Amino acid sequence: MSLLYGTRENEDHQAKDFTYKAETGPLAEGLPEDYKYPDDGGLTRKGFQRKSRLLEPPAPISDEPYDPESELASFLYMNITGQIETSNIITTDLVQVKYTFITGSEWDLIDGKKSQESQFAKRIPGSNLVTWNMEFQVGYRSLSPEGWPVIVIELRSPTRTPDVNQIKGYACVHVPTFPGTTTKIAKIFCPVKDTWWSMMKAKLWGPQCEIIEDPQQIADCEGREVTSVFYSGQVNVTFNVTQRNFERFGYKTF
Amino acid sequence: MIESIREIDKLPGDYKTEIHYIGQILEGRGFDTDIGLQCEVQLEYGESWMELPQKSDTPMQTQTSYPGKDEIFVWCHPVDLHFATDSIFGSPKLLIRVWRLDDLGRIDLFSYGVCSLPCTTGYFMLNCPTWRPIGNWRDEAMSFFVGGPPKLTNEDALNKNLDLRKKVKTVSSGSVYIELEVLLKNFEKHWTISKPLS
Repeated sequence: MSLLYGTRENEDHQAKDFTYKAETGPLAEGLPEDYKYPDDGGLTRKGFQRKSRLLEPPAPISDEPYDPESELASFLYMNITGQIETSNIITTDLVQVKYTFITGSEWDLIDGKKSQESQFAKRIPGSNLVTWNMEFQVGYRSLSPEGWPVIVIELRSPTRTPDVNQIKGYACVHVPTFPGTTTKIAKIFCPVKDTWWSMMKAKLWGPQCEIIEDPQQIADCEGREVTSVFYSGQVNVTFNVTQRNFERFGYKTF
Repeated sequence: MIESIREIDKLPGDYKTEIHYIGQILEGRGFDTDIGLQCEVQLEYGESWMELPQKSDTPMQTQTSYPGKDEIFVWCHPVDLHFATDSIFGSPKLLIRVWRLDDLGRIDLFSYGVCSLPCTTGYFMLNCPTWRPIGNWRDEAMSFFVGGPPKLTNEDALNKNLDLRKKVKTVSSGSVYIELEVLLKNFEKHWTISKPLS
């Protein structure tokens, strides 16, 4: 007589005889104990319902729908990921990229690191591009969109003395304000002294960059009327942005 | 520290329409010089527009840039503006003046341009072409050899009184690129101004 599992006759009293195929037989010999189903009585429909009633209490009944505006202390949240991809700067040296994120006073860093340095990269003699593929991931929260985050990029190349780097240029770009993936192009500029000899050197052998230690000065407007600058290429950066609570504050960004 | 923003706790300032302009004055292209160029940008807006937190007295002035590869003048001047309005008329405009810096340290006004800022959300790459007024053959020869190109005597011709432009003869110059992102606040309650979804 063949036993049919799950019929009305065999519903409960045959539960101990019920096993899955992999638990017995030649395939089950090497299996660890966790992969074998223990017999709690929960393998039938009645037993499963009995178990679930004990573990989960019933949901509370409420007439009003959930109102997200009733939560306390909300902020604007933003998650920024992406990478610094390539650049077409004209050098034959090895070039390193250092990025820092700079914001206004109201933005707090929740997740990730503000600044990191990448590897030293070189281009193939035939092509124009230097590739870094440098990833970044950063999370912010704030109460107003003033002082929107900016990424400041410094390009460096090594010199003969170890641990001393020579700067090739600076670039800075705003993070996009709408969610999604975008690629942005940041232009590289190289600040130079205003004397006659440094201008001649710049035209003959390429500009020699001044060192600006605080990246906040590159993202600011102060002191820019007095500096003079050479253009030396561009950097491609991709951003993936997600936002939260912008509609609640009144901003519609998509 | 704000503890809650329920509807009861919102102030009348929270319902006001506001605009944020976030971006950079990127670069200039097509200027026929080897000498350094500087860009000065002045804001103009109507009566019902209010600049937050304070009204700025001085115009924005960028760094001087010398052309490197591809004859591009790089400025990369950050722009972070915040306006609160009661009416859309009189939306802000930029008056652009490009100055030229010689080897000897002289500064000349090189060209003019006017650009109006967009009022919809999104990312914009604005291209503002610039121009310069022409004088006699004498004035042009002086500006070529000695320096000092002709300037406008009455600068209302740029924006305030456009009837004066009938009397001006100009020659075209390069173009200024401005990269902007616009954030609108509370515009849906008062005006339906937003980009249509494709």
